[in-house]
This record gives sequence, C-alpha cells and structure tokens, in this order.
Amino acid sequence: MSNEVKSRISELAFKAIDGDLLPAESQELSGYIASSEFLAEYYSACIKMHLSILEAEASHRLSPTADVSAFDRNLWQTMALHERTAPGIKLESRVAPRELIRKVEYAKTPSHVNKVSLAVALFSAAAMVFLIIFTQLARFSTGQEVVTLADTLNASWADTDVSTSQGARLAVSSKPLFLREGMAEVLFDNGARVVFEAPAEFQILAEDRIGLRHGRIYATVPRQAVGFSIYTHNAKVIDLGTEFGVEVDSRGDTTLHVLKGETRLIAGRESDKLSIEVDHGTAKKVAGSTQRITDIPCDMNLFVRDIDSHVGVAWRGENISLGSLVAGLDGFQEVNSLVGLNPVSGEFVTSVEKLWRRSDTTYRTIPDSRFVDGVFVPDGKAGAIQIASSGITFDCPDTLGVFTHDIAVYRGPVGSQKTTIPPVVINGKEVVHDPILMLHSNIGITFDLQALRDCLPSNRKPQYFQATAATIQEYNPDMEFWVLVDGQLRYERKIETEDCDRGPISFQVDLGPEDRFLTLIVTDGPSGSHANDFFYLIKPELSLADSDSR
Amino acid sequence: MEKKSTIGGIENPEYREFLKILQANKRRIFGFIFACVPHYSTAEDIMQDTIIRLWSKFSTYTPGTNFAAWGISYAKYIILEHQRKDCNIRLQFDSDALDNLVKPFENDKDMDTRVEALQVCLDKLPEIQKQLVQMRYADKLTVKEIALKVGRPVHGLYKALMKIQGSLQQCIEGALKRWDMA
Repeated sequence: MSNEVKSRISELAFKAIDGDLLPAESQELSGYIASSEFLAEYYSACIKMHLSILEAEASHRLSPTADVSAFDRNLWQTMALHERTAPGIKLESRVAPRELIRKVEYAKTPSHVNKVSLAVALFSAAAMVFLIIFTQLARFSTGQEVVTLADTLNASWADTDVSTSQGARLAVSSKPLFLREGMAEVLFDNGARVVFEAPAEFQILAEDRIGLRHGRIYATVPRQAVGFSIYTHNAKVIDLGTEFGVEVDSRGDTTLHVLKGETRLIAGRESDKLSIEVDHGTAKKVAGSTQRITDIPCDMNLFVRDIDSHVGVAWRGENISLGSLVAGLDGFQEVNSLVGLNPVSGEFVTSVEKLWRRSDTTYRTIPDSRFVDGVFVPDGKAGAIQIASSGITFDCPDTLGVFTHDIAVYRGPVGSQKTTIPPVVINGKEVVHDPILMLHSNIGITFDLQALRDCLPSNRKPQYFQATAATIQEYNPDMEFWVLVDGQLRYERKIETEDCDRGPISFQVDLGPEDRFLTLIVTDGPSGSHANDFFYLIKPELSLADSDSR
Repeated sequence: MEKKSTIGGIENPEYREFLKILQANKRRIFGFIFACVPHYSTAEDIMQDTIIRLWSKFSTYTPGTNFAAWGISYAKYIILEHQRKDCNIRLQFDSDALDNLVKPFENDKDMDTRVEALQVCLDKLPEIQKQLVQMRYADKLTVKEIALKVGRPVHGLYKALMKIQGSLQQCIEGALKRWDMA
C-alpha cells in the first residue's frame, strides 16, 4: 500500500468523521474499503486511533484550552516549512468505485412479540445499559449539563462564571471548579452522588466522570451508574458498584479508600502500569512522585459522605455515640472529660461522687438536651412507671428506690476524673480508649430517636443500638439491665455474681424507622444490696445505615 | 423466547452477565459501528439498537466464544437497516465493504489497552502537537474549523494530524510490547 493511498484514506477518514465528505469522495472511500481487506484494515486503524485519542484525551487532559495565538506561531511556521519542502502527493489511479446502489437484503426475523411493548419494556433497561456503555466515550460535548448541585454546607467558591447556587445545573467543561470552603454535594444525572470537601479543585469531564486536581471527594454510585470514574493526574478509579473516597493531597499523592463494593484502580508508570481491583475495607496510595501503588489503612471516617444543610450536618460515617448524647453533645463530638447527669434534677454535673439519695419515680425531661428525652429512678412498688415524655410506662421490678451515683460518661483513666467510680478492667487493663457510659442502680435514661433522625441526613437512620456491657467481678454485683424501645423489652440481662465470670458481653438491639424512644434501665437485684451495682456500657453507639442501601 | 429485562434488571444474574460481557467488548462493537457510520449521534443510535438486539438474543450466544464477533454480526444488519431508512447518511458502505470492516474489530485484543497506553503517549507529544490534539479531540473542532481558527490550509492540517497519529501509533506499539501485550 503506497504512502499516497494511505494519506488519501486518512484524509477521507478525517473528512468522514467531520461530515465533510463530498459524494464522490464517499464513493471513493467505499471503493477502497470494499476492494481490499488491507485498505479496510488501514481505514479501521484510522478510526480506532481517532476513537482512542478521543477517549484518552478526555480523561488525560485537565488543563484549560491553550492559548491559540502562541500555538499558532510555532506550529504554523513549522507547517509552512513542511509545505514548502514536502514532495507533492500524486494519487495513483484510484480503484474504480464499486456500485453502491444495489438491493440490500437482510434476514427478516418473525416477530412474536408486539414491537411497541417490547421496545417499551426494554427501553428502561437499554437506557441503563446505554449509560453504562458510554462511560469511556466522551460523546457529551463541552457545555452539556449532566450534574445538579444538590446541596452545600458553608460553601464558598472561587471566582467562577458558573452558577453555584443549590439546584444549579453544571455542565461538562474544561474549566475547573474550586471549592474554597465548606462542602458541596452534586448529583449526576446517572444517579451517582459525590460530596466534595474544601479545598477541592475539580472538573466535570463527562456525564459519568470527574477530574480531581486536588482535594477530597466521596462517591456513592448506584447500580445504574456502574462505571462512574474519577481521574487524577496519576490514577484512574472506576466504580464497579460501590462507595469510595479519593483524595489528592498537596504532594500529589492519590489515595483511594473503598468503603463498600469494589473499584478498579489504574495507575503506575508506563513500564509497570497496573490495573487492580480494590475491595471494600481496603485502601491504596499512588505516590505522586514515583507512581508506586502501596497499601494503606482504610479510613472509614476520613471522607464526608453526606451533608444536609437543613440540619447543618456533615457525616463522615461515624456511629452516634450515646455517651456523647448523655454529655449534651451532638452524638459525633467526642467525650473528653467526665460529665454526669443527675437523674432527679436532670442537671449536668462535672463530678460524680458516691452519695446516697432517695427519689420517687417521677420522669424528668432534660431541657438542655435535644436527644436525651428524660431520666428517672425506677421502682415498681407503686406500679408501672413513666419512662418517656410521651407517657409510655413500664412495669419494672420493685427496687430500693435509692441511687448512689449520677449517670456518668467519660473516657480515659477514671483516676484522672472527678469521680469515685471504680475503673472497668478487661483482661487486666483498664478501658481508657473508648467512651464509657456508667449506670449504677437504680437509674433509667431515655433517648429520643426521632429527634436524632430529624437532625441526620435524610438517608441515614439509626439501625441498631450496640455496646459492650461490663461489671466489676470483685464487687459481687447483683442487678438487672434492661433495654426497651417504646416501652417494649428488647434486651435484658441479669447480673449475678456467677455472670461476672463470663466477662464483658457485647450485644445489639435492632431499631426500626418508626421507633421513638430508647430506654436503658439498671435496677438492683433481689438480694437487696446495691452498693456495688456498677454497670458499664463500653462504646455505646447507634449504628447509622443508609436507608437507600443496595 | 425473547428475553426481557425487568425494571431494575440488574437483579437478574443473566442480565448482569450480559452487561459484564458487553462492557468488555463495547469498544470493539462501537468501533465497528463508527467505522461504518462515522457520525457520532447516528453511531450511538445504532449502538443502542444493537444492545437491545443483543440482549434479546443473548440466549443464543455461546459463552466463551467471541462476543465482539457475535455482536458485530448483529450490528452489521442494523447498520444496513439504518442506511435503508435514512438515505441522507452520506457515507454508505455496501455489504462487501461492511464485511471487510468486521475482521479488524472483532479480533482486536488491544483496543482497551490502547487507550491506557495513549494516556501516557499523549504526554510525550511535543507541546504544539499536544495543542493540535487538544483542539481536535478535546475541543472537538473539525479540521476545517481548526484551519479557519489558525489561518492555515486544511490540507496541511490533515498531514499534521496524520503525523501525530503515526507518532502515537509507534508509542503505543512500544508500550504494548513493554506490557507484554503486543
């Protein structure tokens, strides 16, 4: 095949792609391809190169369009020189074009199904597949809107001529967007949801693709958007059905943390480029300087996964700490020093000392707490007692009606706190790293789950209550622990001396979307002794789940 | 019986399998379609029709055989149908031409890795060539539009783009060899 023919076929291929073929040129190209497998192969190579560059360029380039005037001078001087010195191209006698007008016959498939209903039935599936198939073909031209700015939280953007108000539509663009402060959540038309945390600079590259220059983003990708990708300067992450976070830091390192499902990570230098699957619970780093891929710990709470500006919440995947709620905090803030809650007055205190007190069973609400509904001293001698502000009651057993310690929550060595609470020891070591909620008989506390749900992102709900329960074996405690949801018993444990031999016990109580009140009660046992009834809940939490989870 | 997907058809394991195989072969099938009908929106329409047809015929596909070849065989007929319906399609290949375009695509094992190699090779282009690539493939200007923009003859641009493609092809071949895929 001569160079002249190659040049001609290339030129015709360019023209065909641009829609600039003259009728005679169409016939000419068709003739080349029909007459020779070699020419057809060369033309195919031109097409393949075109499509491949298109796709690679879309993912590769993250910088704005270059200045044409500077380009112009250099390139066209070079080209002008080439034009003056290159030999003329003479086309050899062309192959006679084949007759194009001929009867086209194709197999007719008998239709057993109504075509309209079939098309309708398959359209939704085809639409889904269509979106998946073209994730890597940059067919959406610059300017096509493919993303909605769903929510922002204290967001501040760099100067941009793009609307960044909530609900704004964002288009495929070569211009980066810079989130200077706060957070922003965008929703792609294919259902993928991405949360950006400032400072972050990024581009919408396609209807299913983001280019991240630097910063931190978290993607939640539903099934119909599988193939959603994030490109950085040294890596590409392709979703295979997952939730994952990507960060590009100031050193140019790209880190990928996969929290659900699996992704494909493509990175590395030319000589050792890798394409690896990264599963949930694992994380990788691509070094900015060396392109090396290394394992790193997967940080489940590094990325903001959800924001809700209506309630002012940015959620990083943590569970709600009951200890934090008892301390009057929001459930995510950590308890760093001891806080007590008086079950009679409902007041917060900063020290918890042993003091005998008798009380009636009056239910007391906590005005200073949004999420603790109330507290009480349980005693069933007078009948069922109120355990929630809505009036729910519970038939608890008879008790002495006295208590010695306020409800306490703390973290760290108990010896450094203002308290006479003895330390909880497991395997010879005091528990110091996890928050501890201490309930001494006779005490009850109720949490308002609905108030919590009202303050969480709309798709994150408490799914279950979990904790590790422990007592002090040497003290020979005799007590009972109850967990109720809306007055219904969900978990019960009688702690007698023999039980202590079992050591700490972890448990879990499921919660439904309509459950309102979670009540924890500790009562003294039938022995009548309660001085040593220290009951510890280690790391008591409400686990949050995605109510739309796959 | 023709298969139908259900709403939320991803739940269907067979549909999931279909998607997986299709994903692995889509570049080949679309490449063939675009070679026959080098007009994006038309090629995309044909691709969509092809996908629908392939799913409806998936029960006839023999697992382990060349899916791209199977898919292209249906795509060819759909292309001919489109040509019959839309006489305004300027470039219309007859069935002999279509037959000659099948082999380069159905057996091309490098189409996926070519894109990956290109991402590296594009970096190696001289700056001015990068800019031309940018205008042509990122800004999606036609050759005539580029020529008007920069004030140079169209023919010279064709030659420049050919030269760039030649350089990239050499680079890709080198990369594929190093990756032991050539």
